[in-house]
Amino acid sequence: MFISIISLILLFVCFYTFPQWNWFFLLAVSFGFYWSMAGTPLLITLMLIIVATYFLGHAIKRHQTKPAQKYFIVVGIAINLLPLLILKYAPHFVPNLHWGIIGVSFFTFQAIAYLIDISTELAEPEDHFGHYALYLAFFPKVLQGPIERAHDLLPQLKSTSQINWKNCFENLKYALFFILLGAFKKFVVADRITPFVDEFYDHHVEYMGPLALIPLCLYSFQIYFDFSGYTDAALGVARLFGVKLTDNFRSPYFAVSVADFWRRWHISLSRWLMDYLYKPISFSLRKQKTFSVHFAIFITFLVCGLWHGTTFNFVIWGCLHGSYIILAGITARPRSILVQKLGLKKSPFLSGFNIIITFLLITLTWIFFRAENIYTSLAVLQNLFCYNNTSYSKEQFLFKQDSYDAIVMIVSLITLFIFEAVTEKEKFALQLRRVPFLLSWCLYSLLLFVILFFSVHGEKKFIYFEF
Amino acid sequence: MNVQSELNQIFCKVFNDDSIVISGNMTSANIDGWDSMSHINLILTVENSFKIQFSQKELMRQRNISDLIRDIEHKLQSH
Repeated sequence: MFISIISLILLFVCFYTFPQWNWFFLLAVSFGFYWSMAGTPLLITLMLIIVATYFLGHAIKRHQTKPAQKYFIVVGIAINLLPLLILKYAPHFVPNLHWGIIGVSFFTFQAIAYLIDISTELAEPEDHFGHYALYLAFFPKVLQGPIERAHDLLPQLKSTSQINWKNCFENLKYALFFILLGAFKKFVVADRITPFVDEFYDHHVEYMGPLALIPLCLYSFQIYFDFSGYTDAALGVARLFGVKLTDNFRSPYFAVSVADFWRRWHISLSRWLMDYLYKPISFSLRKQKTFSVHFAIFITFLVCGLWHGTTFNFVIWGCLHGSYIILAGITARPRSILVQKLGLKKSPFLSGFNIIITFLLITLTWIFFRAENIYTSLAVLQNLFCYNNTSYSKEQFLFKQDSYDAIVMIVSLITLFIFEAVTEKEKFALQLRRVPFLLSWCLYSLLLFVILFFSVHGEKKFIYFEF
Repeated sequence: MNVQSELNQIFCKVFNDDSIVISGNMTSANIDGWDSMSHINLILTVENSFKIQFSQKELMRQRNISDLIRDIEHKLQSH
């Protein structure tokens, strides 16, 4: 941790002192960071994918109107998917094989997007090899995304050579807010929820009836604050170097439908799946009308599930999301007529009702995401709907853990809930720029104190590192 | 009737809203009900009304209404 902070400060000073070498500094640190987190074999995989897709991008452009273009695209997609599939599925077939795939699914999806965008003329192949390598390896996003598009990220990486000390303090202010917010979400909130959720899944047979909803809802918050905490920190670190990454989250638990949830949750992955899977399938089958839409949705969410994991649990998780959206589409018309007849079209009560129902539906799907296997998932679901008075009354679930932990967790959750309900973090960060220097640093110091005082100590692990 | 006004009528019909007035830089974010599901219905209606057929590449490239109008005009000219 100490070495990481020193390296980051060194990089920051070099970055603003010798801007003409910025791509080189960032690339060297990105490779070093990825090697330290993922190891040599995965770093070599990343480098090979960079080299292969760099040349394939140019080949696709050169054969723009020729039939050979298709072959280059197919080869490009295969080169990216092959290591991903081997790394994900080999442990199922080879006993005692344990290897991580940290970051692989993120940079391979980004490389596939780059090649397809060149073929559809939405992006130009990058000539500067260093800039292209940095586009795939840029260290704030190489482990957990966001999955960036070439036309969004490459121009920003190129313009880092024009950066100067004038930009420095503005970037620093913005970056610190996001880094501290991310640290608060992860170390104070998500990590504090972890033991409550672990206790529930380790002894799920003990928890029956509606009480089980509490840890299930807590997992919804744990995974959100774990992943969005990392993303906020990544956004902040990238901003230190003048790069604005895509925000992956927009208050997802305020979504009024499951489709709306996917416009707010892991936004860069949803857009990727939408543009490179859903659209091609639904466009090519469009003569089949509704079937094309439903089929494309189902396949997209099936792939979304498989992207997250190779077990049957993830297949069910993906299929549930797909089924929710298809069912919502089928029932849209009668629901709209009913709402109009009841005069509830713009009612805040209807929005509130939809938010709660959507949250509960999403929470149910997280059971398949979190549980070890399909049997545990089904047992948890079964227990949820089997109310048993005797086995239930002895548990005071929230306080089976330390009551201090429960209070800090509840207060932190309420604070973040209010923060998300009243403002968007991007707008808040912009407003912070206008706040006097001293006041903003007081706020940062306070947030840092809260994080240091209330954070959970022990081994830190991000849930999405596994994908 | 030019392409834009004919397309405007199609939007009103598909999204069941006579008050829609389209402009070049509008995207799905600007029209109520225009999501990935209704987009397929919109494309099919546009193709049937103008008697054209978009290629996969054209459909993937369309980002706003001005892209859609450009592709329709291009198709009509090459007829």
